[in-house]
Amino acid sequence: MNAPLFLAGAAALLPLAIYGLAARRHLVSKLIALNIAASAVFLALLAGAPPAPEGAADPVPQALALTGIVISVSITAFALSLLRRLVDERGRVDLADGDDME
Amino acid sequence: MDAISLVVDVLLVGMTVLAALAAVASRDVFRAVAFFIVFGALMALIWLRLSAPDVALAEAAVGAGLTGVLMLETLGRIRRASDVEPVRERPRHPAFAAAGALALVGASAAAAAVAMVLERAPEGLAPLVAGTPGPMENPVTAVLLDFRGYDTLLEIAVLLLAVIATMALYPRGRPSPAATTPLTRGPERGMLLGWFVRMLLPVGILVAGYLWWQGADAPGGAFQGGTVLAAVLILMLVTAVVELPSPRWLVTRLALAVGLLAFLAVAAIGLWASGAPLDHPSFAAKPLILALEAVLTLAIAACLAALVVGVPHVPPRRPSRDGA
Repeated sequence: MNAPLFLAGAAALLPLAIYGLAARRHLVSKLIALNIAASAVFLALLAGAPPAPEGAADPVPQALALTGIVISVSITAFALSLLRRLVDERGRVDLADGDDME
Repeated sequence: MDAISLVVDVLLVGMTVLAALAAVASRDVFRAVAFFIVFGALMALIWLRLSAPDVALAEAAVGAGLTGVLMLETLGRIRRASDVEPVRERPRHPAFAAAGALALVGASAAAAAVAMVLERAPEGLAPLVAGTPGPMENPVTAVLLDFRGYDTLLEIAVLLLAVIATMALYPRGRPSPAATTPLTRGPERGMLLGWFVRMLLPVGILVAGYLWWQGADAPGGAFQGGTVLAAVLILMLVTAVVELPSPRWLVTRLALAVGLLAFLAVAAIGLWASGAPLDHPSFAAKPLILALEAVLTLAIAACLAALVVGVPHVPPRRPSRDGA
Protein backbone atom coordinates (compact mmCIF):
# COMPACT_ATOMS: atom_id res chain seq x y z
CA MET A 1 0.00 0.00 0.00
CA ASN A 2 1.41 3.36 -1.06
CA ALA A 3 0.30 5.36 1.97
CA PRO A 4 2.71 8.32 1.40
CA LEU A 5 1.27 8.76 -2.09
CA PHE A 6 -2.28 9.05 -0.74
CA LEU A 7 -1.07 11.42 1.99
CA ALA A 8 0.45 13.59 -0.74
CA GLY A 9 -2.89 13.49 -2.55
CA ALA A 10 -4.65 14.71 0.59
CA ALA A 11 -2.02 17.45 0.95
CA ALA A 12 -2.77 18.58 -2.62
CA LEU A 13 -6.56 18.46 -2.24
CA LEU A 14 -6.85 20.42 1.02
CA PRO A 15 -5.26 23.74 -0.07
CA LEU A 16 -7.10 23.48 -3.40
CA ALA A 17 -10.41 23.15 -1.57
CA ILE A 18 -9.70 25.91 0.97
CA TYR A 19 -8.72 28.25 -1.86
CA GLY A 20 -11.96 27.45 -3.67
CA LEU A 21 -13.95 27.99 -0.48
CA ALA A 22 -12.43 31.45 -0.08
CA ALA A 23 -12.16 32.59 -3.70
CA ARG A 24 -15.30 31.32 -5.45
CA ARG A 25 -18.45 33.43 -5.17
CA HIS A 26 -21.17 31.05 -6.29
CA LEU A 27 -22.42 29.33 -3.13
CA VAL A 28 -22.77 25.93 -4.84
CA SER A 29 -19.07 26.22 -5.81
CA LYS A 30 -18.23 26.98 -2.19
CA LEU A 31 -20.17 23.88 -1.10
CA ILE A 32 -18.31 21.73 -3.64
CA ALA A 33 -15.03 23.06 -2.22
CA LEU A 34 -16.20 22.31 1.33
CA ASN A 35 -17.03 18.72 0.38
CA ILE A 36 -13.63 18.27 -1.30
CA ALA A 37 -11.94 19.61 1.85
CA ALA A 38 -13.85 17.05 3.92
CA SER A 39 -12.75 14.24 1.59
CA ALA A 40 -9.14 15.41 1.88
CA VAL A 41 -9.35 15.23 5.68
CA PHE A 42 -10.82 11.70 5.56
CA LEU A 43 -8.08 10.68 3.13
CA ALA A 44 -5.38 12.01 5.47
CA LEU A 45 -7.02 10.17 8.39
CA LEU A 46 -7.05 6.83 6.60
CA ALA A 47 -3.76 7.10 4.72
CA GLY A 48 -2.04 8.33 7.88
CA ALA A 49 -3.19 5.40 10.00
CA PRO A 50 -0.69 2.60 10.39
CA PRO A 51 -1.53 -0.44 8.24
CA ALA A 52 -3.20 -3.29 10.05
CA PRO A 53 -1.47 -6.66 10.05
CA GLU A 54 -4.08 -8.47 7.95
CA GLY A 55 -4.14 -5.78 5.30
CA ALA A 56 -7.52 -4.22 6.05
CA ALA A 57 -7.45 -0.54 6.98
CA ASP A 58 -7.68 0.51 10.62
CA PRO A 59 -11.40 0.25 11.54
CA VAL A 60 -11.44 3.31 13.84
CA PRO A 61 -10.54 5.94 11.18
CA GLN A 62 -12.82 4.03 8.80
CA ALA A 63 -15.72 4.52 11.19
CA LEU A 64 -14.76 8.19 11.66
CA ALA A 65 -14.75 8.73 7.87
CA LEU A 66 -18.12 6.98 7.53
CA THR A 67 -19.65 9.23 10.17
CA GLY A 68 -18.03 12.24 8.54
CA ILE A 69 -19.52 11.43 5.12
CA VAL A 70 -23.04 11.36 6.55
CA ILE A 71 -22.48 14.62 8.47
CA SER A 72 -21.15 16.19 5.24
CA VAL A 73 -24.26 15.28 3.28
CA SER A 74 -26.50 16.59 6.09
CA ILE A 75 -24.67 19.92 6.18
CA THR A 76 -24.69 20.18 2.38
CA ALA A 77 -28.43 19.52 2.23
CA PHE A 78 -29.14 22.15 4.89
CA ALA A 79 -26.86 24.71 3.20
CA LEU A 80 -28.57 24.09 -0.14
CA SER A 81 -31.99 24.70 1.40
CA LEU A 82 -30.64 27.97 2.86
CA LEU A 83 -29.42 28.84 -0.65
CA ARG A 84 -32.87 28.19 -2.12
CA ARG A 85 -34.38 30.63 0.38
CA LEU A 86 -31.66 33.15 -0.54
CA VAL A 87 -32.61 32.84 -4.23
CA ASP A 88 -36.25 33.52 -3.38
CA GLU A 89 -35.55 36.44 -1.02
CA ARG A 90 -32.70 38.21 -2.79
CA GLY A 91 -32.61 36.79 -6.30
CA ARG A 92 -28.94 35.92 -6.11
CA VAL A 93 -26.68 32.93 -5.54
CA ASP A 94 -23.74 34.64 -3.80
CA LEU A 95 -23.28 36.63 -0.62
CA ALA A 96 -22.22 39.94 -2.20
CA ASP A 97 -23.90 43.14 -0.96
CA GLY A 98 -25.35 45.73 -3.30
CA ASP A 99 -22.30 48.03 -3.05
CA ASP A 100 -20.01 45.11 -3.78
CA MET A 101 -21.07 45.12 -7.41
CA GLU A 102 -19.75 48.73 -7.80
CA MET B 1 3.09 -6.44 -9.21
CA ASP B 2 4.28 -3.66 -6.94
CA ALA B 3 5.25 -1.54 -9.94
CA ILE B 4 1.80 -1.99 -11.45
CA SER B 5 0.02 -1.08 -8.24
CA LEU B 6 2.23 1.99 -7.92
CA VAL B 7 1.33 3.11 -11.45
CA VAL B 8 -2.38 2.55 -10.75
CA ASP B 9 -2.19 4.53 -7.51
CA VAL B 10 -0.30 7.42 -9.10
CA LEU B 11 -2.85 7.59 -11.92
CA LEU B 12 -5.73 7.39 -9.45
CA VAL B 13 -4.44 10.14 -7.15
CA GLY B 14 -3.51 12.32 -10.14
CA MET B 15 -6.94 11.99 -11.72
CA THR B 16 -8.66 12.69 -8.40
CA VAL B 17 -6.68 15.90 -7.86
CA LEU B 18 -7.38 16.97 -11.47
CA ALA B 19 -11.12 16.30 -11.04
CA ALA B 20 -11.11 18.35 -7.82
CA LEU B 21 -9.22 21.15 -9.61
CA ALA B 22 -11.77 21.16 -12.43
CA ALA B 23 -14.66 21.14 -9.94
CA VAL B 24 -13.24 24.09 -7.98
CA ALA B 25 -11.98 26.13 -10.96
CA SER B 26 -14.86 25.65 -13.40
CA ARG B 27 -16.84 28.88 -13.99
CA ASP B 28 -19.93 26.98 -15.13
CA VAL B 29 -21.45 25.63 -11.92
CA PHE B 30 -23.25 22.82 -13.70
CA ARG B 31 -19.90 21.58 -15.04
CA ALA B 32 -18.39 21.99 -11.59
CA VAL B 33 -21.02 19.67 -10.12
CA ALA B 34 -20.40 17.12 -12.89
CA PHE B 35 -16.68 17.15 -12.09
CA PHE B 36 -17.49 16.86 -8.38
CA ILE B 37 -19.47 13.68 -9.05
CA VAL B 38 -16.47 12.30 -10.98
CA PHE B 39 -14.30 13.28 -8.00
CA GLY B 40 -16.59 11.33 -5.66
CA ALA B 41 -16.44 8.21 -7.85
CA LEU B 42 -12.62 8.41 -7.93
CA MET B 43 -12.54 8.86 -4.14
CA ALA B 44 -14.55 5.63 -3.83
CA LEU B 45 -11.84 3.86 -5.86
CA ILE B 46 -9.17 5.36 -3.56
CA TRP B 47 -10.99 3.96 -0.50
CA LEU B 48 -10.93 0.54 -2.18
CA ARG B 49 -7.18 0.88 -2.80
CA LEU B 50 -6.77 1.75 0.89
CA SER B 51 -8.68 -1.47 1.79
CA ALA B 52 -11.58 0.47 3.28
CA PRO B 53 -14.59 -1.07 1.48
CA ASP B 54 -17.13 0.27 3.99
CA VAL B 55 -16.04 3.85 3.31
CA ALA B 56 -15.98 3.12 -0.44
CA LEU B 57 -19.62 1.97 -0.35
CA ALA B 58 -20.71 5.08 1.57
CA GLU B 59 -18.67 7.43 -0.64
CA ALA B 60 -20.08 5.94 -3.85
CA ALA B 61 -23.65 6.12 -2.57
CA VAL B 62 -23.64 9.32 -0.51
CA GLY B 63 -20.57 11.33 -1.42
CA ALA B 64 -20.79 10.96 -5.18
CA GLY B 65 -24.43 10.00 -5.66
CA LEU B 66 -26.68 11.85 -3.24
CA THR B 67 -24.60 15.02 -2.79
CA GLY B 68 -24.40 15.41 -6.56
CA VAL B 69 -28.15 14.87 -6.93
CA LEU B 70 -28.82 17.46 -4.20
CA MET B 71 -26.66 20.04 -5.97
CA LEU B 72 -28.12 19.36 -9.43
CA GLU B 73 -31.60 19.58 -7.99
CA THR B 74 -30.87 22.97 -6.39
CA LEU B 75 -29.32 24.26 -9.62
CA GLY B 76 -32.46 23.15 -11.47
CA ARG B 77 -34.70 25.05 -9.05
CA ILE B 78 -32.49 28.14 -9.29
CA ARG B 79 -32.63 27.99 -13.08
CA ARG B 80 -36.42 27.88 -12.86
CA ALA B 81 -36.53 30.99 -10.68
CA SER B 82 -36.82 33.76 -13.24
CA ASP B 83 -34.31 36.47 -12.36
CA VAL B 84 -31.10 35.50 -10.61
CA GLU B 85 -28.26 38.02 -10.47
CA PRO B 86 -25.21 36.67 -12.36
CA VAL B 87 -22.17 35.94 -10.18
CA ARG B 88 -18.97 37.91 -10.73
CA GLU B 89 -16.23 35.33 -10.21
CA ARG B 90 -13.10 37.43 -10.87
CA PRO B 91 -11.08 37.96 -7.67
CA ARG B 92 -11.00 41.61 -6.66
CA HIS B 93 -7.33 41.47 -5.61
CA PRO B 94 -5.54 38.92 -7.84
CA ALA B 95 -2.17 39.45 -6.14
CA PHE B 96 -3.71 38.87 -2.72
CA ALA B 97 -5.47 35.72 -3.96
CA ALA B 98 -2.25 34.36 -5.48
CA ALA B 99 -0.33 35.00 -2.26
CA GLY B 100 -3.04 33.24 -0.29
CA ALA B 101 -2.94 30.24 -2.63
CA LEU B 102 0.85 30.01 -2.32
CA ALA B 103 0.69 30.20 1.48
CA LEU B 104 -1.95 27.46 1.57
CA VAL B 105 0.06 25.13 -0.67
CA GLY B 106 3.22 25.79 1.37
CA ALA B 107 1.53 25.14 4.70
CA SER B 108 -0.09 21.95 3.40
CA ALA B 109 3.19 20.65 1.91
CA ALA B 110 4.97 21.34 5.21
CA ALA B 111 2.27 19.51 7.17
CA ALA B 112 2.44 16.54 4.78
CA ALA B 113 6.23 16.43 5.05
CA VAL B 114 6.00 16.38 8.85
CA ALA B 115 3.35 13.65 8.70
CA MET B 116 5.58 11.50 6.50
CA VAL B 117 8.73 12.03 8.59
CA LEU B 118 7.00 11.27 11.89
CA GLU B 119 7.44 7.71 12.99
CA ARG B 120 4.25 5.70 12.80
CA ALA B 121 2.99 3.47 15.51
CA PRO B 122 3.75 -0.11 14.45
CA GLU B 123 0.10 -1.08 14.52
CA GLY B 124 -3.01 1.05 14.82
CA LEU B 125 -6.16 0.36 16.78
CA ALA B 126 -7.07 -2.65 14.62
CA PRO B 127 -5.62 -5.30 16.98
CA LEU B 128 -7.39 -3.64 19.91
CA VAL B 129 -10.72 -3.74 18.06
CA ALA B 130 -10.16 -7.33 16.95
CA GLY B 131 -9.10 -8.36 20.47
CA THR B 132 -12.11 -6.89 22.25
CA PRO B 133 -14.92 -9.42 22.45
CA GLY B 134 -18.11 -8.19 20.82
CA PRO B 135 -21.06 -9.51 18.86
CA MET B 136 -20.03 -8.02 15.51
CA GLU B 137 -17.53 -9.70 13.18
CA ASN B 138 -17.11 -6.67 10.93
CA PRO B 139 -14.72 -4.39 12.87
CA VAL B 140 -16.15 -1.21 11.32
CA THR B 141 -19.69 -2.10 12.41
CA ALA B 142 -18.31 -3.00 15.82
CA VAL B 143 -16.73 0.45 16.17
CA LEU B 144 -19.82 2.25 14.83
CA LEU B 145 -22.48 0.55 16.92
CA ASP B 146 -20.73 -1.18 19.81
CA PHE B 147 -17.62 0.78 20.86
CA ARG B 148 -18.40 4.28 19.59
CA GLY B 149 -22.19 4.22 19.79
CA TYR B 150 -22.32 7.86 20.91
CA ASP B 151 -20.82 9.02 17.60
CA THR B 152 -23.44 7.17 15.60
CA LEU B 153 -26.26 8.32 17.89
CA LEU B 154 -25.25 11.96 17.40
CA GLU B 155 -24.80 11.37 13.66
CA ILE B 156 -28.42 10.21 13.39
CA ALA B 157 -29.44 13.26 15.41
CA VAL B 158 -27.58 15.56 12.99
CA LEU B 159 -29.28 13.92 10.00
CA LEU B 160 -32.71 14.37 11.58
CA LEU B 161 -31.81 17.96 12.53
CA ALA B 162 -30.94 18.72 8.90
CA VAL B 163 -34.38 17.48 7.81
CA ILE B 164 -36.16 19.49 10.54
CA ALA B 165 -34.15 22.63 9.76
CA THR B 166 -34.92 22.29 6.05
CA MET B 167 -38.63 22.02 6.81
CA ALA B 168 -38.44 24.92 9.26
CA LEU B 169 -37.01 27.15 6.52
CA TYR B 170 -40.28 27.02 4.60
CA PRO B 171 -41.66 30.54 4.63
CA ARG B 172 -45.08 31.22 6.06
CA GLY B 173 -47.44 33.35 4.01
CA ARG B 174 -45.02 34.52 1.30
CA PRO B 175 -44.52 32.75 -2.01
CA SER B 176 -41.08 31.17 -2.22
CA PRO B 177 -41.01 28.98 -5.31
CA ALA B 178 -37.38 27.84 -5.24
CA ALA B 179 -37.61 26.73 -1.63
CA THR B 180 -40.96 25.00 -1.63
CA THR B 181 -41.78 23.61 -5.06
CA PRO B 182 -41.22 19.87 -4.83
CA LEU B 183 -38.86 18.30 -7.32
CA THR B 184 -40.37 18.00 -10.79
CA ARG B 185 -43.00 15.31 -10.90
CA GLY B 186 -43.50 14.77 -14.59
CA PRO B 187 -47.12 14.31 -15.61
CA GLU B 188 -45.76 13.05 -18.92
CA ARG B 189 -44.01 10.03 -17.41
CA GLY B 190 -44.28 7.17 -19.85
CA MET B 191 -45.48 3.67 -19.12
CA LEU B 192 -41.94 2.34 -19.34
CA LEU B 193 -40.57 4.59 -16.58
CA GLY B 194 -43.42 3.73 -14.23
CA TRP B 195 -42.98 0.02 -14.93
CA PHE B 196 -39.21 0.26 -14.42
CA VAL B 197 -39.53 2.06 -11.10
CA ARG B 198 -42.08 -0.48 -9.87
CA MET B 199 -39.73 -3.31 -10.86
CA LEU B 200 -36.87 -1.55 -9.10
CA LEU B 201 -38.61 -1.43 -5.71
CA PRO B 202 -38.27 -5.15 -4.78
CA VAL B 203 -34.69 -5.20 -6.08
CA GLY B 204 -33.85 -2.11 -4.01
CA ILE B 205 -35.41 -3.62 -0.88
CA LEU B 206 -33.47 -6.85 -1.48
CA VAL B 207 -30.13 -5.04 -1.90
CA ALA B 208 -30.77 -2.83 1.15
CA GLY B 209 -31.70 -5.87 3.23
CA TYR B 210 -28.61 -7.72 2.04
CA LEU B 211 -26.33 -4.81 2.93
CA TRP B 212 -27.96 -4.53 6.37
CA TRP B 213 -27.61 -8.24 7.15
CA GLN B 214 -24.13 -8.41 5.62
CA GLY B 215 -22.94 -5.49 7.80
CA ALA B 216 -22.64 -7.75 10.84
CA ASP B 217 -19.60 -9.58 9.53
CA ALA B 218 -18.63 -8.09 6.16
CA PRO B 219 -18.57 -4.64 4.55
CA GLY B 220 -22.04 -3.13 4.56
CA GLY B 221 -24.42 -1.81 7.15
CA ALA B 222 -27.26 0.56 7.92
CA PHE B 223 -25.91 3.57 6.06
CA GLN B 224 -25.12 1.76 2.84
CA GLY B 225 -28.45 -0.08 2.89
CA GLY B 226 -30.32 3.10 3.79
CA THR B 227 -28.81 4.96 0.86
CA VAL B 228 -29.84 2.27 -1.62
CA LEU B 229 -33.36 2.34 -0.20
CA ALA B 230 -33.35 6.15 -0.35
CA ALA B 231 -32.41 6.05 -4.04
CA VAL B 232 -35.40 3.81 -4.81
CA LEU B 233 -37.71 6.00 -2.68
CA ILE B 234 -36.51 9.14 -4.46
CA LEU B 235 -37.16 7.57 -7.87
CA MET B 236 -40.67 6.53 -6.81
CA LEU B 237 -41.50 9.99 -5.43
CA VAL B 238 -40.04 11.87 -8.40
CA THR B 239 -41.86 9.75 -10.96
CA ALA B 240 -45.06 10.05 -8.89
CA VAL B 241 -45.47 6.29 -8.58
CA VAL B 242 -46.34 7.03 -4.96
CA GLU B 243 -47.91 10.16 -3.53
CA LEU B 244 -45.61 12.71 -1.88
CA PRO B 245 -46.33 12.25 1.84
CA SER B 246 -47.55 15.28 3.76
CA PRO B 247 -45.36 16.38 6.68
CA ARG B 248 -48.50 16.58 8.80
CA TRP B 249 -49.02 12.83 8.70
CA LEU B 250 -47.91 10.99 11.79
CA VAL B 251 -46.46 8.27 9.54
CA THR B 252 -44.14 10.76 7.84
CA ARG B 253 -42.90 12.18 11.11
CA LEU B 254 -42.44 8.73 12.61
CA ALA B 255 -40.49 7.49 9.57
CA LEU B 256 -38.11 10.42 9.89
CA ALA B 257 -37.65 10.26 13.68
CA VAL B 258 -37.78 6.50 14.27
CA GLY B 259 -34.00 6.05 13.92
CA LEU B 260 -33.15 8.47 16.71
CA LEU B 261 -36.01 7.16 18.88
CA ALA B 262 -34.84 3.54 18.45
CA PHE B 263 -31.26 4.55 19.25
CA LEU B 264 -32.39 6.32 22.43
CA ALA B 265 -34.45 3.23 23.36
CA VAL B 266 -31.39 0.99 22.94
CA ALA B 267 -29.37 3.42 25.06
CA ALA B 268 -32.06 3.23 27.75
CA ILE B 269 -32.04 -0.60 27.63
CA GLY B 270 -28.28 -0.51 28.20
CA LEU B 271 -28.72 1.88 31.11
CA TRP B 272 -31.33 -0.40 32.66
CA ALA B 273 -29.52 -3.70 32.03
CA SER B 274 -25.90 -2.86 32.72
CA GLY B 275 -25.84 0.58 34.26
CA ALA B 276 -24.33 2.51 31.34
CA PRO B 277 -26.19 3.97 28.35
CA LEU B 278 -25.46 2.21 25.04
CA ASP B 279 -23.72 -0.63 26.87
CA HIS B 280 -25.48 -3.54 25.24
CA PRO B 281 -26.32 -6.37 27.66
CA SER B 282 -24.23 -9.33 26.59
CA PHE B 283 -27.11 -11.83 26.38
CA ALA B 284 -28.89 -9.85 23.67
CA ALA B 285 -26.18 -7.72 22.13
CA LYS B 286 -26.29 -9.09 18.59
CA PRO B 287 -30.08 -9.15 18.09
CA LEU B 288 -30.30 -5.70 19.68
CA ILE B 289 -27.69 -4.22 17.34
CA LEU B 290 -29.17 -5.94 14.28
CA ALA B 291 -32.67 -4.70 15.11
CA LEU B 292 -31.33 -1.19 15.69
CA GLU B 293 -29.52 -1.33 12.35
CA ALA B 294 -32.72 -2.42 10.58
CA VAL B 295 -34.63 0.54 12.00
CA LEU B 296 -31.71 2.85 11.20
CA THR B 297 -31.74 1.64 7.57
CA LEU B 298 -35.39 2.67 7.20
CA ALA B 299 -34.97 6.00 9.01
CA ILE B 300 -31.85 6.95 7.06
CA ALA B 301 -33.64 6.17 3.81
CA ALA B 302 -36.59 8.35 4.85
CA CYS B 303 -34.37 11.26 5.98
CA LEU B 304 -32.21 11.23 2.84
CA ALA B 305 -35.27 11.02 0.58
CA ALA B 306 -36.88 13.93 2.47
CA LEU B 307 -33.70 16.00 2.03
CA VAL B 308 -33.58 15.38 -1.73
CA VAL B 309 -37.23 15.43 -2.76
CA GLY B 310 -38.31 17.98 -0.20
CA VAL B 311 -41.51 17.86 1.79
CA PRO B 312 -44.48 19.66 0.24
CA HIS B 313 -45.31 22.98 1.81
CA VAL B 314 -48.52 22.87 3.80
CA PRO B 315 -50.12 26.28 4.38
CA PRO B 316 -50.91 26.88 8.04
CA ARG B 317 -54.46 26.44 9.33
CA ARG B 318 -55.68 24.70 6.21
CA PRO B 319 -54.67 21.05 6.33
CA SER B 320 -55.06 19.41 2.93
CA ARG B 321 -54.34 15.81 2.23
CA ASP B 322 -54.66 15.80 -1.52
CA GLY B 323 -51.00 16.68 -2.06
CA ALA B 324 -51.83 19.03 -4.94
